[in-house]
Amino acid sequence: MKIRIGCDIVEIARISRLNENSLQKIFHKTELSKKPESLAGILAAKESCRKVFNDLNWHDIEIVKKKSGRPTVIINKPDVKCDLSISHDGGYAMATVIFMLEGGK
Amino acid sequence: MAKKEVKSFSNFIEKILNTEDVIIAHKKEYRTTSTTGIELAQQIKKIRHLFQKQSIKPGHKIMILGKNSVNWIAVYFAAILSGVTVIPLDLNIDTTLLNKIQKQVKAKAIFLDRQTNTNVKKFYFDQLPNLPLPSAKITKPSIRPDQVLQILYTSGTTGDPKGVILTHQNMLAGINAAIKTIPLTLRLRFLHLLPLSHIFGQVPGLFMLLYFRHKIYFIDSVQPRQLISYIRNKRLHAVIIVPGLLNALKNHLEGKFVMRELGLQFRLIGIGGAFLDKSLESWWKRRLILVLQGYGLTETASMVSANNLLLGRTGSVGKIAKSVEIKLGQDNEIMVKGKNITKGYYQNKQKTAKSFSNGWFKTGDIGEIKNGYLYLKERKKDIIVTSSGINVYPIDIEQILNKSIMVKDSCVFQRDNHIHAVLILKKKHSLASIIKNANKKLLTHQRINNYSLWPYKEFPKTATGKIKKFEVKKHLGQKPIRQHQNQLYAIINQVLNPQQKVTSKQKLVDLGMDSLKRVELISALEQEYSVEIDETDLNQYTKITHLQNLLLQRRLKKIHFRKWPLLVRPISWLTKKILIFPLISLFTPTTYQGLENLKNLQGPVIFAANHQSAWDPIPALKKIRLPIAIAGESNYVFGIGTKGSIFLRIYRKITGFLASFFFNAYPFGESIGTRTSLSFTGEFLDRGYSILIFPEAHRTPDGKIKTFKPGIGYLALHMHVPIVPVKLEGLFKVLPLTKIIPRFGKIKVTFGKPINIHDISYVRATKLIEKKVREL
Repeated sequence: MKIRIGCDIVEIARISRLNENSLQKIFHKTELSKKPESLAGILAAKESCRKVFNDLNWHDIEIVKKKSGRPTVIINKPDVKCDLSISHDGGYAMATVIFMLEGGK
Repeated sequence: MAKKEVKSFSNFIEKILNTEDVIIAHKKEYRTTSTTGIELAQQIKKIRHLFQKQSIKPGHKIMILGKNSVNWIAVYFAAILSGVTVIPLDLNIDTTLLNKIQKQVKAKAIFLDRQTNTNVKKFYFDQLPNLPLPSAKITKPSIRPDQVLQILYTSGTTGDPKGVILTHQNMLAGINAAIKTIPLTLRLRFLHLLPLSHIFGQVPGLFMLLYFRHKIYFIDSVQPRQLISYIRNKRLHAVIIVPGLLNALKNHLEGKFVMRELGLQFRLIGIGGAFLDKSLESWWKRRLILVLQGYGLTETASMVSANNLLLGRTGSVGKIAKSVEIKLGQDNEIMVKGKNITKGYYQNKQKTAKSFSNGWFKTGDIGEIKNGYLYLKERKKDIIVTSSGINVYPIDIEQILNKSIMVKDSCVFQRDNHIHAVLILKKKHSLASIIKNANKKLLTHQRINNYSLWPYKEFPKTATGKIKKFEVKKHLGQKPIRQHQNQLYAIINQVLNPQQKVTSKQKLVDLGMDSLKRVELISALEQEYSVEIDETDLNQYTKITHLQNLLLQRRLKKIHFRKWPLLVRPISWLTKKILIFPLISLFTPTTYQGLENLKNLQGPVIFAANHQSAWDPIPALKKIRLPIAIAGESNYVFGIGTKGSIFLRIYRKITGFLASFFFNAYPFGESIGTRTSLSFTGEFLDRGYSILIFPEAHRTPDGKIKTFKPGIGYLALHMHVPIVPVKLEGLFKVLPLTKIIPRFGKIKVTFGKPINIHDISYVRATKLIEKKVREL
């Protein structure tokens, strides 16, 4: 088993500067209805995942909330366990993600 | 149908909708939906019922804002039948103008397909089909001929909005003129590319086409590549279009064999709405495609003149409609009279008085009449029509430019299909920075593309002080246009902002491009070059030269949607039945489960199966009675984009040929691009074929089911058809990945229940489908 970590920080104001086309390239329709700070958080989380797996597209990753309110990653990879944490303050959003890879690949 | 005059809208609409035939088809994303006359009539009924419930009465006003669609037409027709006045809004309207218009007209409701910030009561298009169908009959209001049918706002964002009032009588006269001038009694398939909020998109584009029972096709795209494949795949005969977009099509087709690209059936272009360049018209005519140019204004309910099918003259806007009187006034200004002419501008008596002289309407266009044909010399109102059919008013741009303290005077017009600004400055100053500042204040479609400096102190002007744009244009003549030398660099700079010096050896990371900027760059490139770029093709270490090559490659790549001709199909079917199926059954005694799920299956559907061996499709196909196409990996099966030895490439081309010949396989996968793959799939589904797809993409190396690729989730969500999970077992033993000679072995095929998937992301949809297949 191997542990991989990824983190990222995003300026919230950048979200509002993106055009419709770019937004759709990054977010799923289900994610798009959220507030800019949440979107920035999701973006940071996705970018963190992409730092761990560099073959992932934005759309291969979805960030959802569990019933407890904790965010989690849905990702199209076999045999991975992960945990995610997102935060925002002072115009920035950041995320950290940890992956545990079975088989030590 | 004889050329009978249309007397009233209620009879007319009832008549054209009384048919089980499909009258409107609409392509959204990858699928085309069809609507029959009866279905549209029902939709109209529902909306009229809604009007009654919301107490929207005859004489009240509603606004419509949205892309062309069946719902747009339904609301429009419902309003006409109920005597409600319509205010169709331009697609690119901004909130300020919308509120200004609302202040004038006080509409009861707005019907729209997008989020807009306004206080008017909103009804969204996508909720309209869910309205209840009324059981009681809807009362027919008596409609006077001088009742207002619609108010079309044609003015720009600055100044007062200018609404042209068109009554029922005006519209009927306009429609009758169109029907008589262009009798197109052959039933054709028409691609409708004009906004329905535009008079030209309404009178000839909607009413006339429906009158002659042509089939109307809409598409949610203005990308030339998409339009061309739509015309070819749906075998469309004709298109209704504005010159800007026609020019874009021509640019895309230049140097190619037009008949192959568009199909032999494509023969007619109906054009209007803006000045058509004579050379553009001749270019199409040389390729034996008829160009029918017409002339009309919003104020004249479209049709003033139009070319006839047989008696067209290049360069002319055609013969004057019989119901319209015409004369040339001062300076050869075209003046018209007739039942179709508007009674004036809404709440703007001054403007109305100015536009009429002794009962003649002054068009503001300069023309000439030769042998009964009208030739346009110059359009005084010099509206710029962008390639997507949106009107841009130079006055709006000029006003913003003139506000700058550096600018003495400015003049804006269309040149080579770009918005061009010519400036006179007070002091020496950088033109680029003035234009950049102005562009920030302008709406996206209004932005200035090119600019130049006027070398004299004044523009040439008329006695009344108006700039003679015609002469300014002429003076500019062949002078080189100031533009970025390289479009790619221009786009990169636009994304980078602040600008930097870009060289070909730089990497994206050197330019400070992070992953977000890369997304912006990709979406800008895709729009400009109408290509698709996979995000994984670019990373921070990508060099600019690499990007250039990538764009070149993408531009060259072109795969057409292909289908075997009817004659071939029985041969492949027979071979399959007599030879292939029995032979393979010999090796593989098969048991089936879940066949009851196939019994009442209504096609088209998508079958998603796990991939064990090259023989996978055969046992599955044996029991599926629906017409079917198989998605084959574009690289491994079809050899598209295969790198490696020539033998491998030839081998794959052969397997691709056999697969498509016997099993109706088509390429799907990364090497032809996601969008092409999806559009092929959509095209097959549109034609009634079900799809068999292996979401793992490759055969399993160890007999276990691998992770599904997210493509299947995307198909499930965007193709709007159910997914049937299929599980194959045992084939791995018969013909594993590494073997060539098959062995005997029992196999089992299980069909699952069809599942409908909505409203989740496709990562989750993919996981769901994978789970369903595993569970079988």
